[in-house]
Amino acid sequence: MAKIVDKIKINDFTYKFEVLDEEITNYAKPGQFVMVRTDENSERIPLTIENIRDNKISLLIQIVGTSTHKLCKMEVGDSYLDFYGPFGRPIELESYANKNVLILGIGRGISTIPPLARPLREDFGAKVDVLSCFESKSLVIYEDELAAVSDNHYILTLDGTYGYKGHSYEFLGSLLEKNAYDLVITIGPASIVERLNQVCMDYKTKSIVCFNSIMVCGAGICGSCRLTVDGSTKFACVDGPFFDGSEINYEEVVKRLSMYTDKERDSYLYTLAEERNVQI
Amino acid sequence: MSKFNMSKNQVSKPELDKDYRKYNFKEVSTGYTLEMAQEEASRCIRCKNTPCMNGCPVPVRIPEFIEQITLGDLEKAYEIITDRTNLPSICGRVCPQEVQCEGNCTRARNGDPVAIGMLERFVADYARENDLPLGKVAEAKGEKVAVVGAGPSGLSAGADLAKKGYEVTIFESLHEAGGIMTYGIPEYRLTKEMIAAEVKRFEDLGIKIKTNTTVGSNYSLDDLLNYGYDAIYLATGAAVPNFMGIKGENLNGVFAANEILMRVNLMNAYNFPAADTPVELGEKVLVVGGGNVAMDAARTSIRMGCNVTVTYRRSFEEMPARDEEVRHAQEEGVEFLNLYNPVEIIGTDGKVSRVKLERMELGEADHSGRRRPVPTGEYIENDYDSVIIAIGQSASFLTTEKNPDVNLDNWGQILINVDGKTTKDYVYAGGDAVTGPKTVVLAMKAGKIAAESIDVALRLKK
Repeated sequence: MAKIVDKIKINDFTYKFEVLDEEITNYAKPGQFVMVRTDENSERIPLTIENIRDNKISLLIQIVGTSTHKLCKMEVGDSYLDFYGPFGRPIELESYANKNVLILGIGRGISTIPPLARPLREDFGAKVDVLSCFESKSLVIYEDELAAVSDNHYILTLDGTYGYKGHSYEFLGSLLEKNAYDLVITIGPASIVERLNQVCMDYKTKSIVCFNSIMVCGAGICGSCRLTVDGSTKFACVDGPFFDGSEINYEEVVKRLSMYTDKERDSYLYTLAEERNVQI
Repeated sequence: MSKFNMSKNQVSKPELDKDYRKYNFKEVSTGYTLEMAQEEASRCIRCKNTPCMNGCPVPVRIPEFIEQITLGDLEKAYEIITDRTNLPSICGRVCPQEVQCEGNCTRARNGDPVAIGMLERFVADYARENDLPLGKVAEAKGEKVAVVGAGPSGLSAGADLAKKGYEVTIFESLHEAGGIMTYGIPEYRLTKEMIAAEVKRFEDLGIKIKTNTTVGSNYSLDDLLNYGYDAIYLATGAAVPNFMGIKGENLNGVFAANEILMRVNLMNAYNFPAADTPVELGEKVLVVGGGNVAMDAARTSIRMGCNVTVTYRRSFEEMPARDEEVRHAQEEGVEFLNLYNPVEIIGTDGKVSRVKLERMELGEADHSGRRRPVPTGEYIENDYDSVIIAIGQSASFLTTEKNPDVNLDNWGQILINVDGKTTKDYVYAGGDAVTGPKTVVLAMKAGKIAAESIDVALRLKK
């Protein structure tokens, strides 16, 4: 039974959990995820494995709706109803040994940076730069952690209240202008990832992308996470979550990720009302 | 006067009213009472040549158990049934009896066949309610067998092995055991309560079921063999949904039947927002396909309040779904648009709005013996809010892709010999993972064959 052994508040809506699990830790590879449920009513949702150390899995969770709200309410000593994996096809990091890699995360997408950056640098001798992008200073998180796993860590805020100011795709352009990266890995909302990928293509730089896909099973059964890659249908859970950025039908992905927006809001309001015993 | 009940008609099968049941997920067929079961059982004339058994894949000693019903010895009836099947509650409900036992029944030559499925189910339900054990467990052999997948095939193999005295652990990928019986077949055909009670009976044989474990994603087969398992049975099923490969198939509002069934059955989306998992079907739903999964998707959509049309490229005659499923679907208001094939799904703002379908004609019989659909070049377009694709499933690959020494055929299905053995020593396979999607009873049969073979192989090893 996966049990929470540590909970660290990162900001008002972001927590880092350390989960003791002796099985998954033996098998998980960088970039893979676990599927988690908190209670009988809860969804099955994928969470990136942020780090593995001593039979412990770290998860960085930001509250964006019902499931993440429930997850972040859990405390040290609690166990998950279901916690299993690892799922997803890991990136073949060994092909980037001793290369120059840029990993770019938008908002909560930064949770996927450390599990890729750490082995790239420590095991494969790659030079890894990290660009983390946030809306504003109050939302900047994980500064020290990202600095610790990168050669250069750039922080960007949209309003310029911290770090560099501007749009991620403009800043990426300036980085690609100055540096010869062999690979750019981008994790974030699909609409922004599309623009970032376009910049990579303009600079003829290899681009790997990752989104927060909607999943039910995580194991290739339901098809809710499917997308078109190079003209054929793939499942983000078993074929991804990382794909060659130049092959994605972004229009479709953007639409798909917004499919349940209304329902997600209804669910969250319902959950909060239930908790506070309020009639809606 | 004959000692048999010579009525041409079956004792009518109690069912929930169509106008009531389509608003809920309660079990549609409510089963016989003892009186009804005995009256129906006395219609069986105990043919010496047992044509019913010849139609049963396992084959259950049908006339013998039916005789016990007439005598009122339900425990004995249950013992006879479970000599050959581990899933009588399930088989009695979902087997295609019309082409198996009942299809061969002598009484069907002049009237209705004996309602064998209903009788099997009656006995099985009695056994479950009265906690009769699934079988006797032999003395422990001290050897361990791992089963991958807790669907009908895996459970069945596990039960046979446990009865022989092996220590069995079943590894299941999802959070609940039952495989397609849990995530696929809807509540109104197989209630979750019943499946859970059945699963517990397997556990009562000493079988350990380890949910949330996708062998391949974590343990490899060699790990299992090295951790002390003496043999492995792969019953990983065929859970990967097929798509048509037509334009618009990845629009919002296009679903694999698995997704709808999983959201509604496994995740209780019909109870949203009390259950956290939503489902979004809109008003008008088109289900593509003519099999049982298509009927499950259609009837589930009816219960979600949708207007539902099923389109199938052949006619009712060739439809692979059970007759009862088609009848129930029609009763509940599902429309059928047969002899049409979707060629394009048209979207507005990224979401399904229309479907273009080509009219088909029936041509010569193909290798399956069914008449082949031939395109006519005539098209129609109808408005729909969502499209559910139920045109078949392929073998699951999460376990096999990490274990390349288990060879696959060109369709990604596991290759086995007549004993059920794969290309890897002490690793056996069966069920949908080997054959592609078939029935619960065939999956169970494969499990039984593999259990026998594993027993022989492990005894020879000593």
